[in-house]
Amino acid sequence: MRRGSTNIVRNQTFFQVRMTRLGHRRETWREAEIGQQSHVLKYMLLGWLLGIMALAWLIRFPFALGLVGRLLGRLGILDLLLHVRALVMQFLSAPAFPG
Amino acid sequence: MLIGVAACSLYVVACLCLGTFLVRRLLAADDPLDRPSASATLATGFLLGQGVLANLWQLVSLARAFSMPVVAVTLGFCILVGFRTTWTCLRRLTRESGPGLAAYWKEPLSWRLATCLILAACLAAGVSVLVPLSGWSDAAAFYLPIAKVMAASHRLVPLPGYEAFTTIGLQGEFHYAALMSLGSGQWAKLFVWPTSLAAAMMLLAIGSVLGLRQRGKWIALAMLCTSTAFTFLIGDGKVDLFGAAMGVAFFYWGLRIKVGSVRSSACLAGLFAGFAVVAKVSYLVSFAPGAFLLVAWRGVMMSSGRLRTRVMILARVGVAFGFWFGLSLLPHILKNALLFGEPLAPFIGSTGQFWANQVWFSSESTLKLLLTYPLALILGGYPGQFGDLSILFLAFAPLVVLMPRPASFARNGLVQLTLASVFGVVLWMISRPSVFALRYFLAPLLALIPVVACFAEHAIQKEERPRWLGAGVLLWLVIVCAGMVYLELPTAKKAAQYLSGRASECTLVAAGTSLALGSSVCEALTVVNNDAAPGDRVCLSTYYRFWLRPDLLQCIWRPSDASNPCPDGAQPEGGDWSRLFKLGFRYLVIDKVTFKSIAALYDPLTAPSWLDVTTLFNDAGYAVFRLESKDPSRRPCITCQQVAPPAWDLVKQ
Repeated sequence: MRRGSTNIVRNQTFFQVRMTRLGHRRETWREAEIGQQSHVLKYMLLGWLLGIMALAWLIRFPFALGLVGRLLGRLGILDLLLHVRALVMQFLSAPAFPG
Repeated sequence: MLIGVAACSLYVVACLCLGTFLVRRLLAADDPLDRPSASATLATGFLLGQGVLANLWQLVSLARAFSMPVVAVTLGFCILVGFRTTWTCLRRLTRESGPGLAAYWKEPLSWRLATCLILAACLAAGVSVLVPLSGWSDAAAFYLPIAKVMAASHRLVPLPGYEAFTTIGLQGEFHYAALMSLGSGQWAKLFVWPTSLAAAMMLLAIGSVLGLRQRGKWIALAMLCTSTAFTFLIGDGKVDLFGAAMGVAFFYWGLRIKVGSVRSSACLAGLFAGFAVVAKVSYLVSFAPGAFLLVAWRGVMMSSGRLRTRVMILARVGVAFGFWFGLSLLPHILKNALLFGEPLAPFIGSTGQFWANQVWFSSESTLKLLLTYPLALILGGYPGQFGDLSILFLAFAPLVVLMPRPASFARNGLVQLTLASVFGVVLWMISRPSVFALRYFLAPLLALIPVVACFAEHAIQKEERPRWLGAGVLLWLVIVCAGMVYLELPTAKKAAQYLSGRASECTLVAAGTSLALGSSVCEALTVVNNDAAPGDRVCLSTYYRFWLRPDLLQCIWRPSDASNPCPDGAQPEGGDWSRLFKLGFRYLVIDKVTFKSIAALYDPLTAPSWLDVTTLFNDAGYAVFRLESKDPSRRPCITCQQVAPPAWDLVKQ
């Protein structure tokens, strides 16, 4: 669906404009509109915030593992989390030259 | 430390008064309705005063007149000249902050509690400035020792042992030297803290230009004080924050280049861009091209007329900016011309290029690093990286999808600032892909903070019930700021131990430092200080030297000791000990971990019979030896004397 009016285009968010240009029905993104935001977009972003929060907690605040470590250990996912953390840390670092 | 606090306070007031006075004069012809806020004026004034004073000190020290009376009189003059203007500006700040405070009290309790936590995180970030200098910091190797030598000798000369490195732009070092002239010692590094505050104020001022409101400014502040690439530099004593603050000030004035304030804004933008490049020479690659882009962009967008009109306006902006940019570089060029005969060093010339062309990682690691941008900026743990950007960047950046489409991308300040910053970072990635330390391109990175804060603020302000995104943003701020406070608790404990007298300086230098990184350097050098006579030569096999007495610092080992043997042509006896003695060294200090090969070479048992080698200090990290001749006929061929007091120079016998 092409935007025929400049005013309408100006009122779009970047994301909505891009999606409409890709051929999506505009109504999909305007269902239960909150201002110019769609619920779908809003919950996607909320999911992102929570996901990054979990990642940051895992990598940046390992002390928190100690606080809830027992619980995670009982659930059997502490080792898995520590393994993931080590992998991420290894992925985002390198030995100094000539390593 | 009290003297350090007093000297630093006086120096801050002098910078503020001088700079505010100059800013007021520069802005006199501008539209009074469009003048910057009082906080932006004060922060600009403080940074401008800093830049002008640093360049003045550079000229004074090259003229060998950098004495305490000169520094004190200059500071007094600055205060005298600008006190009235600064006072007026402070009163305006009080008036302007009234509506802001009233709006603050209308915020929900949850937000007010979050702001308390943000303030706590800001304080926690600054507490490291109260801890004595670390035993492994670059500040203990170069930035503070050169200031110490300058303050003691009243002149600027290449720091012995770091001759080539002295080709870098010096700015923070001059402030340290001036403060040391006033007796502040290592607490000259306190001056980084007000500089970091000025950088924060300029960031918030950029936010105002971009349309940021109160919540957005709090978010920006939280992003700044949880970026360890910024906070680690506050207490460390390194000088990178001086360049970063100047760079941020440039972005503010660059964004203010518009019809009605071309002359003043382009002048200030040019000065700050030049000061930033001098304070951190890596900015020539990572910051200057983006700065030129922003200025040119603003110049082109100032008119919507014909091409010729646009070119004329661009030329006017470009000339004003270029003139002041060039002027601020002149003292640095003069310094390198006088000291090294190479005005364009370290980039063009034979001096200092070895460190300008560094490679830190293998090609495989470098490729991986480049592929993980921008994640590596936020979560990277590369050797030598020294801090990351706040995780809030990663969390809030996608909120850009909720931003309204601007009427014109080309005229939008948010777009201009983002592209100018990203351009600088990308240029650094291309030109020095394996040199991954955020301090080398910190100013463009910090300039992105108000941009991302805009995204977050817009998301929470336009959201309607249920406000899950707003709650998510608030939760993020609380968690990250609480984490920052928690992580800084050990530093606060160290500061408390030192301030209450429960821990000595050397204990804290060693505390938290690994053996490989100079744990006992303070103790080892204190032993030398207590034993040595004025002007004794010390052969230093360690990078870190701040704790050495200033007279000894001027007489230490330098590359000429290796290349110029004694004139009598005598063959060394008994290994290297006799050579050391011949070169006039009375002490040998070895970092046994970093310089293992040298430690193996100098075994006291291998000393010749006529030379008495006494071990003054020996632990797992450091060894200190004293050399004394038992044979009066054997004399050194080089001594260190006060040829032109108070400076010490090497003299061949």
